[in-house]
Amino acid sequence: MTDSQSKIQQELDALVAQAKEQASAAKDLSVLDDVRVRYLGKKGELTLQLKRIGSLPAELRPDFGKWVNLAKNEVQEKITACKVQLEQENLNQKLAEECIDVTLPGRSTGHGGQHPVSRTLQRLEDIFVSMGFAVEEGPEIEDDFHNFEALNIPPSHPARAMHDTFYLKDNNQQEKGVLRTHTSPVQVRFMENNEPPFRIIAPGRVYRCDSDVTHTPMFHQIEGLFVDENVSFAELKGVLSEFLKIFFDKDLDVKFRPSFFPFTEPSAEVDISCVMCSGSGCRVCSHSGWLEVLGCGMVHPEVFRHAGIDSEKYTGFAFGLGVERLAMLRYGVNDLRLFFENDLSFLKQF
Amino acid sequence: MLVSEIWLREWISPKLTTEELADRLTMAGLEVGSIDVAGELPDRLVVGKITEISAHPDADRLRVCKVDVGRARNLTIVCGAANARQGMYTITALIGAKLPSGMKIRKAAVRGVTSFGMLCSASELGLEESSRGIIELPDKSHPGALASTVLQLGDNIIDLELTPNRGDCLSMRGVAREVAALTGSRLKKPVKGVEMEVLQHDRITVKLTASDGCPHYVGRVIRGIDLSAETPLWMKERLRRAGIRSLGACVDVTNYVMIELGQPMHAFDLDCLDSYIEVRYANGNEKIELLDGSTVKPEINDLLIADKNGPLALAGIMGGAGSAVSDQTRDIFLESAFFTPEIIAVTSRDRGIHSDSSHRFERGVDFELQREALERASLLLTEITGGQCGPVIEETVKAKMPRKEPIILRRTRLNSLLGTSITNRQMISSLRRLAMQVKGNSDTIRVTAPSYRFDISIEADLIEEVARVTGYEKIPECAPLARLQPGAGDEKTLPLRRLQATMTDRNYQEVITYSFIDRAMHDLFSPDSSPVELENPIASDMSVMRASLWPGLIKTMQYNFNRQIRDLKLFETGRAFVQKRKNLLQHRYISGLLTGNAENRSWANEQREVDFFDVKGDVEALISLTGRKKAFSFKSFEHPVLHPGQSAIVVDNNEQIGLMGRLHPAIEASLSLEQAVYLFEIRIDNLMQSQIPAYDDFSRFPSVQRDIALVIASKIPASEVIRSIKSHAGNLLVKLELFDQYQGKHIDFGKKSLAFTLTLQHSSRTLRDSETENLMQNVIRGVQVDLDAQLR
Repeated sequence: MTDSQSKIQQELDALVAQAKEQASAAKDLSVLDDVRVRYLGKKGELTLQLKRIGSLPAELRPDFGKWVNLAKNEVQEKITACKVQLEQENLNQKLAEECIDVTLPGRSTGHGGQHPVSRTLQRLEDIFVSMGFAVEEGPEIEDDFHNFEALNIPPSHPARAMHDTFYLKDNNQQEKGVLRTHTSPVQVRFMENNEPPFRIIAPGRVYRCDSDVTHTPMFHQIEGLFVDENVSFAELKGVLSEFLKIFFDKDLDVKFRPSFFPFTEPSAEVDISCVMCSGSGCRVCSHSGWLEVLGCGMVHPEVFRHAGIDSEKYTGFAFGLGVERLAMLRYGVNDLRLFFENDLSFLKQF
Repeated sequence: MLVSEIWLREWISPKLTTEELADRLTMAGLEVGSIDVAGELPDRLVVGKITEISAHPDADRLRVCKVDVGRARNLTIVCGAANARQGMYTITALIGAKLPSGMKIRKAAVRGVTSFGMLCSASELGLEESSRGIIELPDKSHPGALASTVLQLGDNIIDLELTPNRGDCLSMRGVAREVAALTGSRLKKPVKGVEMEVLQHDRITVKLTASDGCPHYVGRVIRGIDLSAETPLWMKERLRRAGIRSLGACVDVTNYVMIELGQPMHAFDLDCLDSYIEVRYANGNEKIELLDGSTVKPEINDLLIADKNGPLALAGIMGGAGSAVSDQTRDIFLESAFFTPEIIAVTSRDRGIHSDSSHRFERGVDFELQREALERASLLLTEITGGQCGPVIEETVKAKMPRKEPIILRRTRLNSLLGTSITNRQMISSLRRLAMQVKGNSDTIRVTAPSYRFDISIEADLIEEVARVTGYEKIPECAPLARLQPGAGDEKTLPLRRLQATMTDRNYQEVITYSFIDRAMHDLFSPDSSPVELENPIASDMSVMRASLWPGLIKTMQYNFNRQIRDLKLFETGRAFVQKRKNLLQHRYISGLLTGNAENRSWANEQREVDFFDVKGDVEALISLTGRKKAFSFKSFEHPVLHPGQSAIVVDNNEQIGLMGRLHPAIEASLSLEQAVYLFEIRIDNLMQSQIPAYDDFSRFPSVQRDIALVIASKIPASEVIRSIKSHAGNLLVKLELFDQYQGKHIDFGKKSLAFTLTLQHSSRTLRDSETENLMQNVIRGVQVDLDAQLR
């Protein structure tokens, strides 16, 4: 290598070293870009080196171009590396600035809640609907015929005393209205207008003139009615046992024992092994191990007769259950009256 | 029905423990509510016999007794009871005994005489509320025997919660019969049928004028009884265990026979009867004072026992005071009758009088029992009080007697109704155990129920009896076989729970309030509706049916205000009751209440009180569920309970279906509310009518947006401006948003500025600029003509 060769090389090397140093020193992207322009721009120092080519000896010319390009590449690489690093640093800084306290509570409009009786009603409906029952409604102010007479409870029947009926003051009405004492009138109204077979449930408010620790003058019932040819008591037992096991989500013992309702014959009361103590005896089951949960029976022929249904051809079963009672057992509520006080501290728990 | 186990076991004693017996009864439909022990006395109470009695040397009213208490012990005991006499057996408390009252017996000097115990009265032993002297035991008692054994105190009282159909079990014999049927044990005969010797021949004429109410009447005159005689302890004790107070020998005997055999009876003072006994209906102009001191005016369908002078008793329910037996009574007329259940039930309910007697008659008393019960009562009474029985007077109107009709029972029907495979033999033996007469032994039999079973009249009743005796637990459980029926698939009806979920999702808490409310609240909130009132409300603040759900929500709000909760969003669904001339409407509503801060207090949002547009937004959310938003509109409306400037009706296709707005400040003040309350109430039936979506082709071409701000008179409602813009924009307008409302600086007084964004789009091509500009000019000109609106 000639002296002039090495001299040129040294000059280029010095320029490269200077550019790389400046690139490294750049603290932000604009300074770095200045460095790029200063050395690699159209009028950059390295770019301008090529203009020297005419003044160089002919033998050096081919190599000189190569050297300058190599030097430019080296500087470009350095600048690119610095740029990547700076961008990364910038991003890191930006991310650091955007850091928030993720433990602050989220933006919320709050959320309301269902009343526990409503929640229980919906669950009951869902279970029976899945078994093929349809949901029916009826009026809460009833006439004597639908609440009593058509259900085989004539005026002289002692069962009327079981009902503690609220009567409306008669405002020159043809007939004095009553607040329905059970949801059973809905089955009468339904049967008057429909031909068997059918399976319905009728949820709703009912009223009895009674108020103490275990009674409120208003509560909710679900009435069920299943009518077809050859419906049997064995099927009544099957449906209700299955329902109770699903509702309480437990393999309960279920006991059917004879009882009396004017609108069913045979009639039964259904007990389950206590869901609180599993039958070993506790306060909830009065240490009996059993809980009375619903009443049921085979539809009385007299009820079919009132509804114009042939009781020789069709048979059926009916049942009625108290929604508050089931809600109390399911959710461990120990005071019936809580349901209608509507204390938010209570309601918010459901 | 309170059943003494010891007494029951005199009638029937199956090899079962008390608990087993109770379980059998419960599982047969005679539910045992509780089993209580009759009370036990401590050891140191024994039978004593007064062997000597002498006056106390130092006290007029005390006497000194020598008392044999067994084991050759003769104690000196000072006693103040007037009835103490030589040879009497009574209960003696020995030294160290502790009486139920807590009193402890000690050796004590009583006016100088040392007493080594105490002779006890029934009240001191806790057996009676008050007593007239010491207990008198039968003469065959053994001195020294434990009192609790002699008084049969180790007894269990089984409380049977009988259903109304089982009137036949309202007696010891009735329960015993049932136990016999259930256990197969044999019924004993502790009570022998008797026929009293006729010692005098006085008769009294009995006329059954109202024979449909009383087809069978048995009675007799008994003369010369001594009612100063005390009811024997055993009888008092059995009555006590049946829950009946002792009221003198005559009443006690009739009550005893009622509990024992099931026949309610009544005794009249013979001296108070004039000429004859007549069973008739009241004439409507009479009055009678009853034994309990009350006076009733019987109405024409009330059955009476009367004589020539007028009514003596409300038949089968309660005797009259005028003819009641007293301590001085020497001669009585004893009645044992059958009264028709329906007649007694109606009178008992209409007059509001309930007695042990009416309780049994309205459930049905064995119509073949009257004579037997009369003889039994005559025997028991004369044993206690002496007296001579007259002949039995018996009147029967056969045609009006209940009939024992055979009922046909088909085994195939029985098994298909129960889902069982009960054999012919099982079926017949179950019925025979219940004392039913069975004719035939094929699969179709004829069954006649005994005269005490008023609950057996059709085949289904017999099927229940077979099931009951067989045991419900023996009936299999199986899943029903039924044809599939499609369930609810009505897309046009929105489920109620969808409305409820929308409310809870929007931060509302569901509540359930009583359907009956305070009259004053009703009148405040529904001044135009005449209240639907209860005849027998449970409390005065629950006396009318709600015509709106608002009073319940307000009450709930106040309840929670008192518990420091002041930000509330509440809703309820349920019926309201409105009398519209002849019609009583019972529509379902969804109603809401909002008050306090609109959102939860949070670092993330500014505090703001709820206002009209919060309610409206929630109502619009409900409406949008129907998919037929266009059918609904809101109109400014004045309602007495709402702020006149902040209330609206909700209209669905010209029908007013709801109301919303701010509670009137005057009402807020009268309820002492310190913050604004907003309410809404909408008919659920309308919200549940939903529209099935129908696809409409939509444009895929670019849309353009243009904003305009219009200045109009401030009284013009926004809805007018919107309607005007829409009518002039035509169908290129696909969306119209009102994004600003302004009044104040730079806007003239009495004017307001509304700013809109119009989104325009053509269905099949890109809009040209000129079209857009023309349309906007059209709109601006249009609103100017319609509403005098100026571009701002």
